[in-house]
Amino acid sequence: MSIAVNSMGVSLGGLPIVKDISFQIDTGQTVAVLGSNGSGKTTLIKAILGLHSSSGQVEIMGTALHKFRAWKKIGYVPQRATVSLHSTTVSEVVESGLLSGRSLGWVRSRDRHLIAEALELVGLTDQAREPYLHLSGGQQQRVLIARGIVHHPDILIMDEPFAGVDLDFQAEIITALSRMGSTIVVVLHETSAWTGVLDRTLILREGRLVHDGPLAPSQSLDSMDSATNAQKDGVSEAPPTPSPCTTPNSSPCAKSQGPDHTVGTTDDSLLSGMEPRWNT
Amino acid sequence: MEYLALAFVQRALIAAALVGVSAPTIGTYLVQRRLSLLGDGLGHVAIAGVGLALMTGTAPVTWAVVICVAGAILIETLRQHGRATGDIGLAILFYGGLAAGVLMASMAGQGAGGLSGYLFGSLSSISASDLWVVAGLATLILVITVGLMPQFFAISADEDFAHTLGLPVRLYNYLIVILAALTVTIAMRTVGLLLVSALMVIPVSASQNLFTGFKRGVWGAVGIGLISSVGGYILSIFADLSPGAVIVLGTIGFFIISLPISSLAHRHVHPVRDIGPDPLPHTHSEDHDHVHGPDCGHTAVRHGDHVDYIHDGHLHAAHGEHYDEH
Repeated sequence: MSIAVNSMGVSLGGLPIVKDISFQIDTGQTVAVLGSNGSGKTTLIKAILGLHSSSGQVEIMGTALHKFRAWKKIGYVPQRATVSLHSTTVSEVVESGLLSGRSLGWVRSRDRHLIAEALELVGLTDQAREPYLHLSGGQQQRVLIARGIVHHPDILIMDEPFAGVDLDFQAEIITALSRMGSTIVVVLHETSAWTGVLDRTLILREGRLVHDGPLAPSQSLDSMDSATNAQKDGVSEAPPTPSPCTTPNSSPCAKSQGPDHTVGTTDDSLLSGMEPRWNT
Repeated sequence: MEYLALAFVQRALIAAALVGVSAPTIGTYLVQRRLSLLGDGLGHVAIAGVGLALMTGTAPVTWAVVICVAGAILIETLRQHGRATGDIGLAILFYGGLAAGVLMASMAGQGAGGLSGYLFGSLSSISASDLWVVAGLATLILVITVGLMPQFFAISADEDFAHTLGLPVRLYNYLIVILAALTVTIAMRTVGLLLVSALMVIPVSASQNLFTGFKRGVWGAVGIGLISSVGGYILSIFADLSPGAVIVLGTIGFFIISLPISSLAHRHVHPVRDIGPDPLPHTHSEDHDHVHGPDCGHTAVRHGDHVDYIHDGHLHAAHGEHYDEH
């Protein structure tokens, strides 16, 4: 078991953002966290990493979060980073991913090849010596991905890692990440680039986990929202067009290895209008 | 040159060199964390320590260290609890420190004039015991800031990410502001409490314009701080000027010189327009006998996460073994 979350609650500024969420992620699984803006996705993964205090229990690799010390096994890719010094190079940003709480000084020379390897994976080998702030937003995001994976983490947690990144590069990076064999938890707005890679999706709505199971890669959160709102308003909605991946000759979609159920007491039927699009 | 043989001049030169090296080293992390004016605020707080020392007849440096470190810890605590954003708490702390210092100095019968040697520096009046204190604190500051340079860089750049590395982020944040407070107090006899922030920040900014890379930037800032401090003091002796002012204006001179050099270094890079992330439909071209780059002469256009070059009326970008034609 890589990650186990039990009855997690997170409040920020007195407001409950994440409410009574429980799930487990097995070693090697790739899990997407979906939900509309403000649904609590980022707060959830930050709480898993201990960046927000939370109620309930979080275990990472079998160890309670407050006792967890094996941070070298964790990789984190945030939505963005604040690098104010405009001369800081791409290579230096990636190098900071090799630091450890248990060692001092810069990275040993024998580990330098890891930086080159990570930059090659995200297609930025030629930009290694360029100032990070001179890159475009999409390139900066790829640098943060390189920083998050440079130490070959066992668990990789990413928060919307592909904002502004070209679809071609997304596919290349996802393929490379999936070969790493790490447990991956990724916050996404759009799952289509992850076709064939995702084992499960967790869907959050207003801080609650409303679905834990496979999701068709072409599933749109907008359509999910409209279905949800229609249901809340008591309006029946015609089933959407089946996803191409449900047809016999389609390309493989989600791997469908995880649990497949909606959760919660009031939202059990939340996604019933979307059933034809789920890959079951 | 006979000035240089005088003991008080030698003490002043050593003190100027130590402060010139220490201030930009810790200043680098303040700039990185967008706390460039923290040194200025701590300088105000330290005045309360000097006033207290004048009132009690004790060593000013000792009380300045105690009050300034306490103020730094309070500021960082407010920041970590998200309460420093309104700036009101900081304003009360900074100006309260200044007012308390002036008040205590006047109660000691010295008035604001008794503080001037600390507000604007007084290098030539540094005693041997002062120099030992400055040397000890400067050594401590340099050992910690250089030894923990990667860790301080990581938490200054991205606190959340540093936490996921297992770094003691909160401890290091306190360490940075405490070292900044110590730097302020050792600099009060050189450039003075009102000008110390300039020596912590301006060499860093100038160095950023001259050098590529965080590590190079740090060493460049140290070099600029050292040259400005030592050179400024020597110039002030011969021109009979205030050392603190000459030192700070020297750092500003470096910054002004760095601007055109920075522009020259980047002049060959064509300005890049940004047309957004929209993935336009494109075709592939396998052969192309021209290698595009910053100095190839074609107009560059930022497109999502790559740069296209306008070529024969269309956008053209190298992609692996082929070229994308938009």
